[in-house]
Formats: sequence, C-alpha cells, structure tokens
Amino acid sequence: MKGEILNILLVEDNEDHAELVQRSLEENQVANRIYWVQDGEEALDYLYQRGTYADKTKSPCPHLILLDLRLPKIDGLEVLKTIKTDEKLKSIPVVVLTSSESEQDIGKVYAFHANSYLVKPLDFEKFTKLMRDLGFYWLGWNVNPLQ
Amino acid sequence: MTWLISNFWARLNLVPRLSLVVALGILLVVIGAVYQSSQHITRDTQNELSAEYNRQMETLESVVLATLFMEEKTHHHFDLKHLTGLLSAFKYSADVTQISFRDTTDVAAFSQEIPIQLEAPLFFSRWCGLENIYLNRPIIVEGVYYGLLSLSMSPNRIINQAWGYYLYLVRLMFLSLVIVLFSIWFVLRKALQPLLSLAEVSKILTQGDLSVRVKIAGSPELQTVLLNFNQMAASFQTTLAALQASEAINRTILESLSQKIFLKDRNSVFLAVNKAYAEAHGLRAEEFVGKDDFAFYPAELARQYRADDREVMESGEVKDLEEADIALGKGCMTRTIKVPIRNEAGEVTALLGSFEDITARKRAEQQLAQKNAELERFTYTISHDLKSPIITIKGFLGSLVADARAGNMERLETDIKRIAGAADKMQALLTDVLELSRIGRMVQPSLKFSMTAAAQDASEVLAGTIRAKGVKVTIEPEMPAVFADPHRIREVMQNLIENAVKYMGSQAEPQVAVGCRFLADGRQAYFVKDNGLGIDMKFRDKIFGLFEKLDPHSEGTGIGLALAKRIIELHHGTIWVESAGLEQGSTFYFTLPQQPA
Repeated sequence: MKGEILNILLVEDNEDHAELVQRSLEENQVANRIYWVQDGEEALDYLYQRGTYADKTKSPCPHLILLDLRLPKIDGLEVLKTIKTDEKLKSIPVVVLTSSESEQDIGKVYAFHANSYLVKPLDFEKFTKLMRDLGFYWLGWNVNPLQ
Repeated sequence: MTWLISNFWARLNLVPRLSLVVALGILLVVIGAVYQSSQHITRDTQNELSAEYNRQMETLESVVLATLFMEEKTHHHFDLKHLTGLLSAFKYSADVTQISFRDTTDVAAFSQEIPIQLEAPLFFSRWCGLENIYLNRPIIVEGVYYGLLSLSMSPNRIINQAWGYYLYLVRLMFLSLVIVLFSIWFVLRKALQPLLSLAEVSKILTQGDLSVRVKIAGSPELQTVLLNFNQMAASFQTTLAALQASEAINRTILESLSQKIFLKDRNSVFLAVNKAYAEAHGLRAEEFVGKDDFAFYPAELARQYRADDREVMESGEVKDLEEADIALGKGCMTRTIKVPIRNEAGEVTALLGSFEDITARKRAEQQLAQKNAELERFTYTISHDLKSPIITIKGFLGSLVADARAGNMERLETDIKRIAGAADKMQALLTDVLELSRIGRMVQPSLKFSMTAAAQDASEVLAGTIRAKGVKVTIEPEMPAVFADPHRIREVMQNLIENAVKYMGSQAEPQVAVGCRFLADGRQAYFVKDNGLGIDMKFRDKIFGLFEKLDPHSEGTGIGLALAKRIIELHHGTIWVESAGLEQGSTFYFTLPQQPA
C-alpha cells in the first residue's frame, strides 16, 4: 500500500453488478475511487477523454480496468483490443470480469493480452472475497506502471 | 479329269477318304497276288499239257501197232477197218482236238476232229499264254515205215476252266472288297463319330450356346476325353451364368446410381457411361462410346479433364476433386472421383470416373454451418444473460444477510427491489427465449394476406402506448400482398412499430409511417419509418443481436429486433435499418417473397 488513492475504471452494463462490485470493494476497505461506465463506447470515450469525459480531473486515467465482456454498443473484446493496441493505454492492467465461462472467450481475451480473466462468482461471499483479493493484489502488491 | 478327282476328293469327309485309300491298297495287293500266282499256274499247266500229250501219244502208238500185228502175220499191213474202229472207239484225253493217221500212200486212213470251243475271252486266252500242241509220230516197225500218226491238243478246255475259276475269284475278291470297305467304313465311323460330334459341339459352343453337350461314345480313352470336355463346357456354362448374373447386378447398380459414371480407355476415349451420365447430357449412353471429352465439353474444360485423366493414369492414384462446375451453371459444385483400373500385370489400362452434383449438399453444409454458428451464439448469449440475474439475486441476498446481521437496515428496501427486478428480468428472458425457440420450430403454411391489414392490426394492439406517447401512425393503404405466415408478420410489424414509438426521444411531433417502396434492385421492401432518436449506423448489425440493447436503461430484454430478424429470415427475406444518424430518425426495411415459396 502506497497510501495513495487508486482509480478503477469499471466497465459494466448491469447496474446491479456494478453496485455489487462497488459494495464489495468498499467493504474490504480498499482505498480507491471507482469510475463506472455502462458500455464499450463510453469506456473508450473515458479512456480517450472524449465528450463528457474531457475533464481530466473528473475522469482521471485509471490504474486498473475491470471489464465486462458483454456490453452494449461496443463489446468488451473490442474495447480490450483497442486498449491493448494503443501505445498509451496498453500498459494499464485490464482484468476481465464476466459471467461467461466459455473457453472461446478465455482464449480470445488472453490472445488480446488481457492481464487477468475472472468469472463472476454466484455466491455473495465469494464475490466479496474475490473483490478483496483483487483489490489487494492489483492495488496493493502489483507495481503499477503509471506514476 | 484331274480336276474332277481333286474336286471329288475335296468334298469327301475323313471316313470315306480313309476307306477309299484302304480299299485301293487292298485292290492293288490282290491284283499283284493274282498276277504273281497266274504266272506259276500257266507254267505248270503248259508242262502238264505236254506230259499229258506224251502219255496220249504212247497209248495211241501202241493201239496203232496192235492193229498192225493182229491182222497180218506174215505181211505186215494195216487192217484199216479195224484201225478206224479202234481209233474211233478210243477214249481220248479231254484236250485232244484232232487225230489222224496216214499210211505210206499218204492216203488218210483215219481222221477225226473233236473241236473244243474257247469260252473265255480272247484276251484271257492270250494272257494265259497256252498254245495248241501238234505232234506227228511216224509208225516204224523193224525199220519199215508204215504211216504217220498226228495228234493235236488244245489248251482251250483248261483256259475255259481257268476263266471260270478266274471269274469266281474276281467275284469273290469284289465281294470281300465290298465287305472290307463296309467294315472299314463302319469301324471308322464308329470310332470317329464321337470326334465328329465333338467338332460339331465345339463349333456350337464357340458360337455362344453353352448348353450343348457331346454324346459320350467310342473307346474308353475317347469317352474320358469327351467326359472332360462336357465337364469343361458345364463349368464354362456355370461360370458364364455367374458372370452374367454379376454383370447384371453391376449394371443395375451402375444404372440406378445417381452418380454419373464413365469408363475411359488410356487415351481418354469413352468406353461406357451409365444412364445418369448420359441423361445429364441429354444423350443416350451409346452416343458417348468411342468419343472423347472434346465432343461434349468446351475445349478448355475438355483439356482440363484430359489432364486430370492423364495424371490419374500416370500416377496410378485416385483423384478426388470438389470443384466449381461451369458446365452445370454458376455456383454449381461437382465432386469428381477418378480411379485407375489395372490389369493383372498391374498396368493402368482404363479409368473409372464418377461425378456427382454436390451443389445442394454444399449449400446445405453452408446452411448447417450457419445454423450451428447461430446456435452457438444463441446458447452463449442465453447462458451469459441468464446468469446475470442470478448473480444479482445471490449477490444482493448475501449483502442483505450481512446487513441484517449488522442491523443495518438502510439498503434493505433497495436491495429487495434489485432482487425482485432481477427475478422479473429472468422471467422476461425465459419467456423471450421460449418465444424465440417457438418461432424456429413453427412455420405456419404461407398464406396470401394484406400487409396493410397486418400493420393496422399491429398498431391496434399498441394503441395504448401510441396514444400515451402522442405518436401519429400512418399506414399506407393497399400495400402489395405477401405470401407468409400472417401471425408472424404481424408480430414483426408490432415489434418495429413498438420500437419506433419506444425510441422516439424528445420529438415534439412524433410520427411513424408504415409503407412499401421499390428498391434500386427492383425488390419490394416494406418499411417502418420514424422521426425519433435514430441509430448510429456502426451499430446497424448489433441491434439485431439477441438481448442486445444500445441503452441499458431502456425497457425490455432486447429481443424485439432479434425476433423480427428471425421471422423474416425464416421467410427467406431480409431486414435492415437505415438512419441518417442520431436524432435523425430511423427506417427499418424488410423484404418478403411475393410468390408462394
């Protein structure tokens, strides 16, 4: 822990799931700030600071991206591909968080250089544990390339 | 004459030829033997005749002398009367023809002729070579000459006898010759008959009638040969029958196969083709025999076929090709299999080819692949989207429990609402999935119906929503009729109108128009046009995906357009959207077959 606030970009179309993620992270007292977008297009707008996300102070560059795969407009894989082929964005760790357990998805996701693939647990306790571990690992232990 | 003999000889069969040769041989031997023996007989007879003559002369001399001495004791003289009496009464040899006695005065004291007629022909007598014998004997007693005794003998009697004997011999010879000839003919015939019949039967066999058999006859060895021959013929017949049966089966198989089959020789000339092959070309099978591909296909194609043939025959390997067939038509596929045929020495002597129009199969394969991909997408979507509400329900239940234990009741109500909402979502999803699968299963028979009426029905169902949003719906009267499942098309209309109303945005004068127009390519397309939110064209395909929603906050599961697409595609039509962009309104088009399928 470096005592600084870490920014997470949560890309999740399901409002309930977004709430669950936020609640779990809060309960584990992982110091962070969550920026939530609901579809792929919005996610890219945020990362490229377009439109409503032009203000860098209100929408800072995330230290971690939590990405759902099935998204309206532009789907998760497309977003992942864009991030990982962009020189500026590709160093941001992307953790795919999805309900899909399809081998095809897992294969594709890693082929596009995602940093991790996590399946949303059905059980609330597991969900909170996963989020806690996720927070500790990526925001605590993991050395972030960004300053 | 020579010609006659050779002609006659040529006409003879084996048995008469042999018989004739043997008979001629016997005849020559007999003639030789007769000649040889006749020489001896002639010589002997002549000798006997001379001896007989001498004996006769001795006797006569004594008789004559007796007459001399008996009559005159002192003076010898002949008692003529007595001499004549004695000579006339004398019993002469059978061959004596003349006797005379002359005394010294040369007056014939006695003369008698006993002629012997020659009964045999003159040539025979000459051939016998016997002659008359004349002999004179002077009668001299004690140095005194008394007269001359003459005797003449003829061989005629003997010749006559010999002639008779000869005739008998000749008859006997001819008789035996006839008997011999007949016996030879009989024996040869008996012996050779089976061989002749074998010749006859083998001739019939070679002409193709394998049911004939040789009659078993003749010597034991011959019988064995004939028996073996018959067994061979029987075995041929059985084998041929089996071959014919197998040939018939093969032919039936070839003829009944839908594959087009041909047989070519080493030079790619057709040896045979089956019915399917000939019919595919609108020809009879015989018309192919002896011709090559150039007679039936464009030169370019024929060259290609020939090159393939050569490759198969030179490599000796089977070639299995799936290729576009320009002869059948555009987009057609054929599968061609070319197999080399080898003789016993392993040399490739011919080529067996079959081809098959696999256009339908290829299309079905493509369709199946499409269906499979669709099914995969479908299951993926379903499993993912059905899992989402479960995560919500279980997640918030867990959160509720934790809050309850902690006595934290702040979020109770909202959490319960979330849970209930997720359960409702799940129910809605399940209903929609069921609906979607039902569309896939049930395709009602196509009926001709009015699209105008279908649109009116749909807008009536939606009347409440339309009124609430103050949307003005105009439907083109007398749109062209279609052949489709009316119930399903009404559903499409309803979904499209509902969508148009739902995504109207903040339009002051919301309008929806339903109509029909001709496209640039001549097709007729029905449309539902609105002046609402419009659609970013980069999502033109995504919006038709199952449970896809551009706006997560909008009502519904996102099945409407997926459902519409599915119905239209089941009717072999197409559906698409056009929009000038956001706030520019959007138009959904779909086409349907104008003719019954």
